Amino acid sequence: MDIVAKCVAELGVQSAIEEKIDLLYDRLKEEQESGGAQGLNALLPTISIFINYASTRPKLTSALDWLRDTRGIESRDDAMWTLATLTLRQVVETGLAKHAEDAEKVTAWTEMRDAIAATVDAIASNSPAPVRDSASVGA
Amino acid sequence: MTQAPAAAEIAVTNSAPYERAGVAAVPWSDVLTYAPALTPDSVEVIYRGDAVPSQVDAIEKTDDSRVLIFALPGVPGGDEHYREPTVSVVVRAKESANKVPFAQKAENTGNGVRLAGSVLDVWLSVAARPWNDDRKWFAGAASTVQVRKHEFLDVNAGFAWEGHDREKRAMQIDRVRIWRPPWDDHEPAHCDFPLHDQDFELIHFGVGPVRAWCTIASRKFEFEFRDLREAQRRAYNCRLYRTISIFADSDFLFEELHVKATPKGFSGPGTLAFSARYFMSAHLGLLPEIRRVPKIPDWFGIGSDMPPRPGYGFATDAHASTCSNPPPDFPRPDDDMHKGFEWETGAAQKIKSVHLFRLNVSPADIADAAGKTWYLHLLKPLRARVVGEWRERRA
Repeated sequence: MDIVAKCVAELGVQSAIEEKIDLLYDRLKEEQESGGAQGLNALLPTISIFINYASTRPKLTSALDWLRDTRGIESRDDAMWTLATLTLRQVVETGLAKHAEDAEKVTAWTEMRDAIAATVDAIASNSPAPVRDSASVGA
Repeated sequence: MTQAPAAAEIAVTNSAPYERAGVAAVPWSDVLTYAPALTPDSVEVIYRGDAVPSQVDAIEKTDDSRVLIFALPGVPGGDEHYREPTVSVVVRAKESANKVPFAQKAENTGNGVRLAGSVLDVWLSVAARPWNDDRKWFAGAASTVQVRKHEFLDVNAGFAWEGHDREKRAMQIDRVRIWRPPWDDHEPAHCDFPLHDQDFELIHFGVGPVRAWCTIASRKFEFEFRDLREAQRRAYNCRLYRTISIFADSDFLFEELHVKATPKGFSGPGTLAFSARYFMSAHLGLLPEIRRVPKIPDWFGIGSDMPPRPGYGFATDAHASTCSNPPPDFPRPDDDMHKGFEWETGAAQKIKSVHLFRLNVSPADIADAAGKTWYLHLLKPLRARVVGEWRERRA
């Protein structure tokens, strides 16, 4: 199981991603087009909100434990950022699959996938400490 | 030389060591002692030559419950022990017909009361079953708390994941506890009175330039104890009274509590010491962070890293227990356990509490704000007292 699938399984949010993919698409696009934050910073707050809705306290705690045990991520901010980034990757993949017939959405999902690719690769390659902007998740 | 209209002088003390704005109040009956010609609906408070926001509220709908409350823009730092007044103001008959505009609103909705200011908009249910369904546990709860038009208790319902949480509510006192006297060997040593499932009564409400407010009273409950003098059991008929205010431009609600006690067939005090247990059901993230300083058990803050970072702060002048999240025996599914919060005040005959609601605030900052709010409004509030008749001398 790759790290994205493992993250989503720990959080228990896959079925919610599939159920809410249209809403997630709308919210992510709104954030991108709002003229506020750019790139990941524009997308992660929505994913953080989603995790807080679709997961549960025991599952989120388990996911934080998993990150601490397997990747040494102790900081809550760093851990939430990592979980949101990995979940976003799964949201994008789900969106690409669900909206394969919609060219406009495929373009948008592809742009999001490109925007997060390097960061997800960095996490997947087990860099010791992900480089992040702490404002991107919680602020 | 001419004599000015009847007026009274009020001394105000700021016990903080720096200048600050604030609200102070005096019993209206004290004003009338020195200025009996004044009428509550036509007075003004003068500070440094200018009229400041003021109003007279009959908080329990009786003449003797009237208070004059006023807001001062800046009071210099003064005596930390309240021994010396810092400034004085004058209350007099209103000389201008101009009405001061204000943003506060107070509205009786039938099954509750809406209080709104420029920041907060709160709907407080007096009914235990406000929606006429099978849920009858909302008495005395604020089931809507909007911060600048955003619902605080379910901040991301706007994302329409599932719609609003039907159980959301804040500021609910779901239980009052009264202790038996030490000579009463009846067990347990205290009596608990659940209040969440029986209607409160809206006693009175009002609005003015200083605040929007309401007073609600719980159902009657009977407190029984053993009388030391006559070696027999006695009882009081009791009601919890809550006066809740939103001040102009404030992001908190201020609450004053007491239990009014009526002795049944004997003479006794009119108030009893009690503690109040608060309950809140709010989505503040799956892992909200509760910050409390055990050595100053008068306030705490609850913050979240979930956007838009909601923060709730509580402060009281009667101490508060730790905040449980979830409460013991929380009767909701595991998926909702993060939404339940419960804490209890210490015992006192009169309790003041503050409920602070903010968005886009860190856990550290909401805790800091709760502490400051406690200091300004509960530990070191502006204090006022009527000191005498005021006779303005004019050349």
